[in-house]
Amino acid sequence: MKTSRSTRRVDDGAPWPVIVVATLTIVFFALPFIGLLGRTPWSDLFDVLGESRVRTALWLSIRTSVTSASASLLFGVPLAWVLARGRFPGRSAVRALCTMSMVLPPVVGGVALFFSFGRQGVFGRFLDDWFSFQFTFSVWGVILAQTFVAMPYLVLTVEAAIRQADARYEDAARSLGGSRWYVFRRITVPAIRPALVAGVVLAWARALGEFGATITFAGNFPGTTQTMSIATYLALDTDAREALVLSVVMIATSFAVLFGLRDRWMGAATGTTR
Amino acid sequence: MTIDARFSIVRANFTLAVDVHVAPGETLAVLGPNGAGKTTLLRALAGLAPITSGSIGLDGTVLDDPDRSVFVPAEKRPVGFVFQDYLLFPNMTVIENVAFGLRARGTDSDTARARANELLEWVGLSEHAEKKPGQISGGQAQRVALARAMAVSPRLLLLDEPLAALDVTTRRSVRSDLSRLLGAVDSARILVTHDPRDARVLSDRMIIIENGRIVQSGTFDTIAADPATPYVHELLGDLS
Repeated sequence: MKTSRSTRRVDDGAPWPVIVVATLTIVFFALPFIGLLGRTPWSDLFDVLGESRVRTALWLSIRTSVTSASASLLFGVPLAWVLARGRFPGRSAVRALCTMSMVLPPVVGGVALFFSFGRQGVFGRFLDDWFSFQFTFSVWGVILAQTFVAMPYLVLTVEAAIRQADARYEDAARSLGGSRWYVFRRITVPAIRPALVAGVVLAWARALGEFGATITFAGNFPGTTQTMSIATYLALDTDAREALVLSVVMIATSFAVLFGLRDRWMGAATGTTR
Repeated sequence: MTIDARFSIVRANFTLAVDVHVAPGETLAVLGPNGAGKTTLLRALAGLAPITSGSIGLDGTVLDDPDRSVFVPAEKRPVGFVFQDYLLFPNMTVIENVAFGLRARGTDSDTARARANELLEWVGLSEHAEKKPGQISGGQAQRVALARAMAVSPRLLLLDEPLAALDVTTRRSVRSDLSRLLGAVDSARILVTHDPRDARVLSDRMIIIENGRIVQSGTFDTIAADPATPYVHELLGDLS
């Protein structure tokens, strides 16, 4: 239906070719989800979710993704601070190294983890010899793979926020006698809180969706390494209903997260600290 | 002298070379055009910008001397700093801002709050203690910043353009309030400003910096009577 010509229209300045292309782009993103939701067996939704295989994968995904997001926060914030404030040669190279896993095909990340931390890997063999500890086929392998792939999202978000935060507040705090660590806790961290939230959520969402590195490095044992993404992929061959239901759960989660994050994310991106 | 500083800071396209001495209870005003090096001077004294050569001493203690490899970091110097636009911490209340320095130095919460409350009474703002910095006026924020800097009993108080963030209508009354408050402070004081009226009301002596060098020093009257450069003449011409 067309808008009536007599309706008062306020020109918002968008040229019509832009509007046309933008509309097509929105349709492009919407269609796959419409298709998926159209085939979803809604009446069986809770039956499928109740199946033990699905529940196991769901629970494993929640545990590992929350752990990976926490590890990303713990290890990523100091890295972000050093990348934003540190003055040392090769800083750009270090940033590229530490965020490469974000753009690499996840399978390549999995291969790299396999040959370094796998049972026969360059470092993994010592873990096995000395501590009888293995990442492969264990839940720790899943967490390592997820953290490896997800942490860069937090690092880049938090680094941008630290760069944009007004360093003079830290100067003020130091001139009042605050040690570096005290100033970091009381001034820097509160100032970048929106970015911390955004970074943790992005890293968590990425960890939840992680597939390639996990299946390559950690395997796909139900209960220990078979996460939701892996279970979805495998279910396509056996029970399409299961794949659809798992997909719906992940779509709902992702949409809720991104929608809820929007304001905070924008706040972090524009450097608003209040 | 409380503060004895004779130093230079060399940057890529800028050199600041000054000689500054201030006695306890005395206010020195530093005037000069934008980019003359006024803020850099304060940052060097506070320990936020290391000097290139020379030395900074406070009550006979060396704070910065590259030749002797001495550098006392900002958090260890007995120096209070009132920043331009005050930089009150937005996530803390007014009283938490004032108590920050004591808390940072390990004073327990109750003692720090009691002392902060005394300082807020001193600047006449105790009824605003629980407000956030965004809820008070510019003139009030300036007094909170002064109370916050004084909470740690500094021996040198630095004020960077304390009136520049205020609109013209409130400036005069805030200036006289500040003058009265500074009179009760027994530490040495250095006030950076680009407004000679601030310097006249608030300071005992002045130095004028242009392009990183002191071009004239003395009292307001002696400088106004015999300006050394065209800039000084222009600056003080209307007021003398």
